Amino acid sequence: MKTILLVEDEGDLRYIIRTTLERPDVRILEAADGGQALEIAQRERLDLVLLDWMMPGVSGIAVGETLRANPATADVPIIMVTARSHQSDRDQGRALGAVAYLVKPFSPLELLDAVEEALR
Amino acid sequence: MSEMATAMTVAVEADVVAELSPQALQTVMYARDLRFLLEREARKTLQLEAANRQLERYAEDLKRAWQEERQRREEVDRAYYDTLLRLSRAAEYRDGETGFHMQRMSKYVRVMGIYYGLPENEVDELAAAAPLHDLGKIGVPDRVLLDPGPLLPQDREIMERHTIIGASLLEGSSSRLMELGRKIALTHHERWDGSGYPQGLHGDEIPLAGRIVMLCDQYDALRSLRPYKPPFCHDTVCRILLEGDDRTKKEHFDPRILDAFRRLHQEFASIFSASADPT
Repeated sequence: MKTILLVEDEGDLRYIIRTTLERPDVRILEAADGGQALEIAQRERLDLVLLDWMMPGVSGIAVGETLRANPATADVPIIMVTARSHQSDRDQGRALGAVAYLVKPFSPLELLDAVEEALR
Repeated sequence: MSEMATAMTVAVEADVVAELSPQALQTVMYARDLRFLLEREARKTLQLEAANRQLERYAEDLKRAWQEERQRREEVDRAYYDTLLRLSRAAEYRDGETGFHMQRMSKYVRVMGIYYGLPENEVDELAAAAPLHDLGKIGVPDRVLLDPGPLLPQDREIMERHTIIGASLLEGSSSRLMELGRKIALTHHERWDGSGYPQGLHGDEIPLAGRIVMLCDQYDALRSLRPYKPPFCHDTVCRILLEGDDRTKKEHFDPRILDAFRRLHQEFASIFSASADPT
């Protein structure tokens, strides 16, 4: 059983992504903002984090940096999901060690591929 | 996923992006992926259908090749039987016979083989091999072969060697038919009571094919004109075979085969009159 943390402030989109990724051998935890995400990351052992970039409060990039700074979560793969597609954003995501970088509206097939790859 | 990458390079038009909400836009992406998957399935289906047609072609070709092969095999079989028949005719012409004797021999042994309950292919082989019984006459000098007789003892010995000559001509072939022909050539003058030649075999030592051909050959010889005898009618021949005379004894024949002849003699009469030598 793999555990994915889905961090997305938009409820509808969270629902869509959860529906896309749901399968019997995967447990999906949801966080509606950066604070919730860090809270869950402290008590759960995560296999993958799907991270929205633009969120009110603690931003996605801040969540990523915090996860990397903590030895317990430093190695968890991160998939960035964002509306922005500027090259500088990509570079930032890469600096965080993101394994994939998806731009909204994302292709569900690309999302599935990226998750499959990250969980392998 | 390179196919996927190609699909995704089709950018959503700028004005559409401007008009739609992010949620609607995300829905568009799902719709587009769904269409991509459907199209890929359709392509796969086409490929499968093409592969299927290809397989059907192979199956057709295989079937045709098999039929052609079978046809060729049948032609070879026919040519083989035909060659054997012509070979045995060569022997018959030497002593002035017409070839009708051989045709009748095939028919007599066929009737006997069927009566004996031999499998169909063995009956066919028996009928094809029976005409070879006198092949060895090829090796008998004209002086002896054409002598109206009675033969001197040393000439009789030369004449009797046609059994051994025929067998040696047919010896060492891997063909079942040739091997059957060899047995028949060697043993068609053996007698049930052991008084025959060349080996003086007794009873079941004589192969069934040899015993059958021996009786059929006797019937046909008695019905035919020979330099030393007139042709006898069917009833006379039946009496000679079933009861014996000064030369022929019923002990010469396998009792079961003689019994078969007793039941089948009318068929022998029909065969003889249907393909009698022209007079």
